[in-house]
Amino acid sequence: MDIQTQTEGPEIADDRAQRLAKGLGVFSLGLGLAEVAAPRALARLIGVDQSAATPWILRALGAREIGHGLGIFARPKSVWTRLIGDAIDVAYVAWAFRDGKRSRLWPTMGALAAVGALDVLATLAAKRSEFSKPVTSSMTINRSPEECYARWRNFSQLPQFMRYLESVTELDERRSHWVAKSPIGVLEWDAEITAELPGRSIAWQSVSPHMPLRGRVTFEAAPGGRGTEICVEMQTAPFAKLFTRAEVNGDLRRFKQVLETGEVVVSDATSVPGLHPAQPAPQGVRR
Amino acid sequence: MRANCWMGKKDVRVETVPDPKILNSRDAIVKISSTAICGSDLHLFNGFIPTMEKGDIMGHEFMGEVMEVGRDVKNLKVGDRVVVPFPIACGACGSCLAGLYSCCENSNPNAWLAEKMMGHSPSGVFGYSHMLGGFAGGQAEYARVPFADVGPLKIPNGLTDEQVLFLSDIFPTGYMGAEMCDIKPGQVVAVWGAGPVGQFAIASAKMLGAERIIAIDRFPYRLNMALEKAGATDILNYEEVSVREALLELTGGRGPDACIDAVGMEAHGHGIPYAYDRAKQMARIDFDRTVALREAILNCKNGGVVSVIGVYGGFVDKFPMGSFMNRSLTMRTGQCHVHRYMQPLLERIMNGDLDPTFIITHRMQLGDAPKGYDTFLAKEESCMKVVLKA
Ligand SMILES: NC(=O)c1ccc[n+]([C@@H]2O[C@H](COP(=O)([O-])OP(=O)(O)OC[C@H]3O[C@@H](n4cnc5c(N)ncnc54)[C@H](O)[C@@H]3O)[C@@H](O)[C@H]2O)c1
Ligand SMILES: [Zn+2]
Ligand SMILES: [Zn+2]
Repeated sequence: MDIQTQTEGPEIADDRAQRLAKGLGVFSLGLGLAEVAAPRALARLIGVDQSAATPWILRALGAREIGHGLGIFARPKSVWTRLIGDAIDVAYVAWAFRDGKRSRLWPTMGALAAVGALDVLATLAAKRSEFSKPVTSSMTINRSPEECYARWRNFSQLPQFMRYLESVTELDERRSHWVAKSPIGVLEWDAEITAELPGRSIAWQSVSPHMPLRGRVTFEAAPGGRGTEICVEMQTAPFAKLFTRAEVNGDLRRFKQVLETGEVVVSDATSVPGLHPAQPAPQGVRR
Repeated sequence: MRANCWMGKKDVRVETVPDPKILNSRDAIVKISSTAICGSDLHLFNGFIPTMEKGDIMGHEFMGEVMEVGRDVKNLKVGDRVVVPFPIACGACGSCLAGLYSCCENSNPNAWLAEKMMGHSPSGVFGYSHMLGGFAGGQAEYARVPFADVGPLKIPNGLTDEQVLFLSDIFPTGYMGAEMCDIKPGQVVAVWGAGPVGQFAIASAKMLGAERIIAIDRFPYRLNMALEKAGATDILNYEEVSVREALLELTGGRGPDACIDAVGMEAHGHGIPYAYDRAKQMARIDFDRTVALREAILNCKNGGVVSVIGVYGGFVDKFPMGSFMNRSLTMRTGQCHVHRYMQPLLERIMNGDLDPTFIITHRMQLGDAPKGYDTFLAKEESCMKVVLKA
């Protein structure tokens, strides 16, 4: 994945995803209204049999369809709910093959498959546009921008407050090697600094194709002599899921603790991994 | 060591748990000599504060002897006798430097949890839920005290535990409640709640020069203590008189210049508004019952101050915003910034301005903590304050 185009892409991708979702929403509403208003005519058209229950089944499917439509207009991301509807529709039509009109049912199945494919596309697009948003977080630290910058720039010390990092090794002026533990195992990548203003900002990106990642951190003097406003922006591949907003925010909070108090602050409950009551841990294991 | 642990709603037990260790270089380990049960502990006991876990050690009012110090604690040495403030504060962040110690930005390792509930996080607090850090409390034989170079106050020889123990919380809290009223000569202060915090708010309002101090509660023994020991000039038993009418009468129809809420989220009351609050609190739709707070707002003089030191946990319904806004009231509140009051109030104690021991009604061993909770909650045996000796 080319993370460069991804950073610039979210709005465009978002727009396309929204348009596709909304189109499917309109389709849901139209089909749903037809099913509710004219179930008999529709039954003839799609070839299902004309038993007494049929109009009611179609009305129920129609009501559900309208539900999808309204849901999508309220929140285009909920387009995935249509996949559930598709499964129900396919099951119904398959069942209708028992005694329905096959010459009509086959084209109906075909239409369902086509719409289903669109639904899958729309769902993926919605997910992608969700993940392609950069994660941002900021924190005010009662130290000068220069001091904050210098601490951050000392990459080998980052694991002190970035909990998921095992190690960072500086290879040369611009390049470094990163090792992280993640829910899917150990991840390793090389990163390079792409732009740097000493005391002000650092931008970096991964040069390992399997680990698309870019980030930027800025250090600005906070108004009123309150130290430094640090802003981090990270962009990463959805699968890595390493840098969620909560995680980045936690990093910054620990960075603030290190700078302002000298180390990462722990309580009895947070001194060990996992859930632990607020009482001393048996063996004094430190996270 | 032995420690009083929260095991569930209305269930605390003294259990054997591991001894605390130094975890950060600015920690100290304190061997606890005296510790107390607070109205705030009752909120935990009754299950109204979220994010408690089975096994959490309770207690945030404690003092004792320094047993061990981390390598960066230079101001304390082994053997020093200290009182520990209940909020944990780093002393170096923007909030600490502004004197807002209970809003310390570094001392709550679970700040993300508190942010979810409150928008921004306050400081960590000993023995007060995981949302406020997950720190083991002081109803125990030993406690780990983080930022021991900032919080603990060294106690000079010649003062007893009982004289200084309440510097850890309720004396400073009551004092801050009165200080936030900006009392000027001739002013009238009304205090809802004549519990330990209310008693110190009354005593402090007197030290700060209030002309008239009205205590409101329903327990005669508490009201009597307010009148005889703390320095209230008038007492109102809301079971017997209409608080509104009595306050109008006592203030020439103006209302008190300042109203202090020393009751908090478990206010008791009568009638439909109370039943409504209680039902919602039971159903966990709301954390807070606000009878006293509403009354404090509605009765405060135009342009007056409502000082809220009673603890609230979540969201408040039926808040009299119209009264509050249209009458130019000011609300001031907070968990007490204990650190900034400890030294000056210690001096007040040494000068003889106030003897805080007047509120102690029960002395027990740490092992009797569960009994202490029951007695304090039920207001049995005229219970005002329980001190546990570890
Ligand atoms: N802000 C802080 O830093 C801080 C510190 C300590 C305690 N607190 C809080 O202060 C409050 C009081 O603590 P306490 O130890 O005195 O507890 P407490 O339970 O002994 O006292 C509360 C008193 O309020 C009275 N009360 C209840 N409903 C009332 C009403 N409607 N009108 C008038 N009085 C009413 C009760 O009868 C009781 O005497 C608690 O909410 C506690 O959590 C706050
Ligand atoms: Zn307390
Ligand atoms: Zn601080």
